[in-house]
Amino acid sequence: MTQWREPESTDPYDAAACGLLTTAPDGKIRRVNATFCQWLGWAASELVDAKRFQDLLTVGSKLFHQTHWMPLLQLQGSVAEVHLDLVNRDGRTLSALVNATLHSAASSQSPDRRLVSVAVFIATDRRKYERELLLARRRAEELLASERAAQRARAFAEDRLHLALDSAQLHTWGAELPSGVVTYERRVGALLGRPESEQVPPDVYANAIHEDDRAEERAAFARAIDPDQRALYSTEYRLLGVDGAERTIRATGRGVFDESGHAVGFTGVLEDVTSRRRAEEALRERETEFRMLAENSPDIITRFDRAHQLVYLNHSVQRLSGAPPAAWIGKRLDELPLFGDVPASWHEALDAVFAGNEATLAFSHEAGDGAHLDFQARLVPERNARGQVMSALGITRDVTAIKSAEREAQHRAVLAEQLVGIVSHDLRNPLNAVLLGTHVLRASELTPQHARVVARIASSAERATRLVGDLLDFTQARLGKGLRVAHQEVDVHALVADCVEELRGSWPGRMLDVQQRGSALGCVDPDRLVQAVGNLASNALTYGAPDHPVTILSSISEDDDAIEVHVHNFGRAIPSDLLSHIFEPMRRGEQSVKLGSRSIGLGLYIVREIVSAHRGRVTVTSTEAEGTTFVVRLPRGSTEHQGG
Amino acid sequence: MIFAHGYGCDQNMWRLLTPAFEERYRIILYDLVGSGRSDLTAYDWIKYSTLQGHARDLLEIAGALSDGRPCIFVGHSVSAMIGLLAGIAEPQRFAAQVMIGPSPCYINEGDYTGGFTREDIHSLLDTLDSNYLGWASTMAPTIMGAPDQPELGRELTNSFCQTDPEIAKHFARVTFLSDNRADLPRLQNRCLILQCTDDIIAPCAVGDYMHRVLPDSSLRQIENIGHCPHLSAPAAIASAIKDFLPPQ
Repeated sequence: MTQWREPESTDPYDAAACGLLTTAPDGKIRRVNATFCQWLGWAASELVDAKRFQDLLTVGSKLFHQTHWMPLLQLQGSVAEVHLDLVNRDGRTLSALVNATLHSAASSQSPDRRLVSVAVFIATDRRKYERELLLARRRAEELLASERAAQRARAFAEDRLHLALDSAQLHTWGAELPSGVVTYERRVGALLGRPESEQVPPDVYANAIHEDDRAEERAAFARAIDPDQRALYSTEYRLLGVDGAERTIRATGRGVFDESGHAVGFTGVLEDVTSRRRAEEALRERETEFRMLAENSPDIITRFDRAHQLVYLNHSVQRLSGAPPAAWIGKRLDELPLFGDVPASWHEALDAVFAGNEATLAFSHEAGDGAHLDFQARLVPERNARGQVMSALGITRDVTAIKSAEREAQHRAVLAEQLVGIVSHDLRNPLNAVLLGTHVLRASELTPQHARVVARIASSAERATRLVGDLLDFTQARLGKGLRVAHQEVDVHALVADCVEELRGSWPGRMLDVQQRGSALGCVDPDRLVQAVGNLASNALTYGAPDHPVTILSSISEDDDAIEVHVHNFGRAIPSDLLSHIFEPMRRGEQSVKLGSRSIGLGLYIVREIVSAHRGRVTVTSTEAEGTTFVVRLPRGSTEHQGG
Repeated sequence: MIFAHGYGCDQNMWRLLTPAFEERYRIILYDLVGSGRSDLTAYDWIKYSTLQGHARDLLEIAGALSDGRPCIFVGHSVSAMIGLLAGIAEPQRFAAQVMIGPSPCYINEGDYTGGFTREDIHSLLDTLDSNYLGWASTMAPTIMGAPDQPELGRELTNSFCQTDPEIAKHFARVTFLSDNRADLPRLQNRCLILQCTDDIIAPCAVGDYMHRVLPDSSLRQIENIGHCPHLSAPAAIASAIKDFLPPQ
């Protein structure tokens, strides 16, 4: 408190317990009381008409005075309880509360005559108090602000949690204890097939739990809220929805306990795991199926992971090695004795599979007893739902028996071919001798009867020669490695025409119509092509209607670079059941044809083999109306194209 | 004719001046955002951390209310600088500017005398603080007098000079610590500087400086003590402005 001294004057104005001033509107001091002078340390004479009120203020208060106090006084006519800092003569600051009233001088209304009455109260202590108050208020505001920030953060965290729960399709529920009042989050209705917007009454939910699962759920709940156990509530039950659907719910949660250890509540999360369980079930079933198939397979079934580690092996391996699959599973490829001698090719194959391809490999293995075993393995990628290769499934087959059977068959075939070859070859010489004999006999004078016999002998010997030729071809095609062909560039049209000309001799009186289309050159085996066309044309003459021409068309297409030979005849259609395997050996056409003109049924088979050896195709169409057409189609394969 | 009040007040401060122009002009008064009865929720602390924010507001008001015709802008104290910035940004909006008690920089710096030091400004903030309790919480009893117009008095008390104390301090910093000296040469508008003979906030030396640097300016001394001549000497201000404005 500022020391209060007895004023010299007893005049109530001078002796007032506050500083009193009268100033002009611009602040010029007109009158001042003793108390004010004493506080400020100025004599009244030094202030009156010499200083302005604002001159006695600190700079900050001057600014405030100019920007707030003066406009207020001008407009309102008064200000009160404004805090201003005065500076006394010694430069010390005095905190003061200032009231002021602007009033007109009694004598005149002129603005010049207006005066301001100012009352100044020392407020140093009050100022301190107010500062403390202000500080306290600031602190309170800061606390409030931080509390608000915390609330916002909490609300944000809650929002985030809800978002997470929503997107994970998790539903919350809770119970108040000991009242046992249960509340479900609104959307729980969806689990029961009810509208999400409807609140689910607790008893409705409880009754929807499958009867067989209720006891376990209750027990789990009881354990969770038992203060001694405080077990994590985790259970799964079936929920029967009002829509008739049965859902599998996974429920987790925990009890909430107060400081004294009493359960005060429970909070939990519900999740519809129906589809997940179904998917798991389906996966299990598929796995079981796979195991069933794999375990009963005579082949060795393997599954390798990306690290080339064996993750599955079936029991077949036991027959081979004597060790059960468990002894192998978990080992890396390099550690597996079965594949020990060929790991490099296995690694290569597995790498190919994990790159998304299939792989096959063959390898042999010396068994413990010294037996030589042959294996063939096929590896395929196993992919997950996203198409990524997760493992490599391998099927390894013991092909030792098949291999040896193959070798044996090959051996037998060679023998048979050799045998047929020898027999055919050896038959040809006596037949040639017979034919030569008939030529000699024809040159001499014969009785008509002898001439007929000689002709018959000649034609029989020719047929026997053809049959032997067919047999040789058949043997070569069937048992060996197909017919051998020697390509050379020829005039295909001329070749086909020559072939037809030869036939005319054997089929006097029959019409043979030769047609040609396109350019002439092609690269074929000429003898074989003549043989094929000859066989087809003979067939057409044999089976076709005798009063209609047989047409042989040779055509070379520049567009698709192919040689085609069409052989067409009219007459009865080939029965459809015969048509599908007419090119098989020993298939006869109509039984009604006279036996004498028939070969042993190798003609069309040899045509097909010739065409195949040329990498071509032979097809047949046959109807009553259109007749029968055989089409031989060969790649042109001309030298100019090959050389191109 | 747009009037913008200075620091610490609101549009009521134009009460004594505007009647002189009502006949010839359409008068537009507004409170700077953060002052008077403006919407305090609109106070964007970042936007209004420089006078440019207020200048953008002025251009919006001028654009919305002037029907495309250029207006006369009268700015007191800090609003004179707001007008300066607005006039530089969109000169075509203004026919002329009147600056009452302007100062481009309140802080002394080198040869320039603004009248204050940084410490002085902090002292003002301190005074603002100490008046915060009395003004913000117990505004109503501060009025004494105005017995002939009690309603008017009460209304004024509740609005005039009243604002959020934190905004008042923020605006005080923005006002008294801003330095627009470099902007002065860029104003193309014709302008009138009204300089009080005795104004501690904008001393005569500042008015002279502005007159030197502003390209198209007139300087008029007003016989007045204090920073608010439009309150203490409205007649002199009105006549000075009328002399300056082109006859209509």
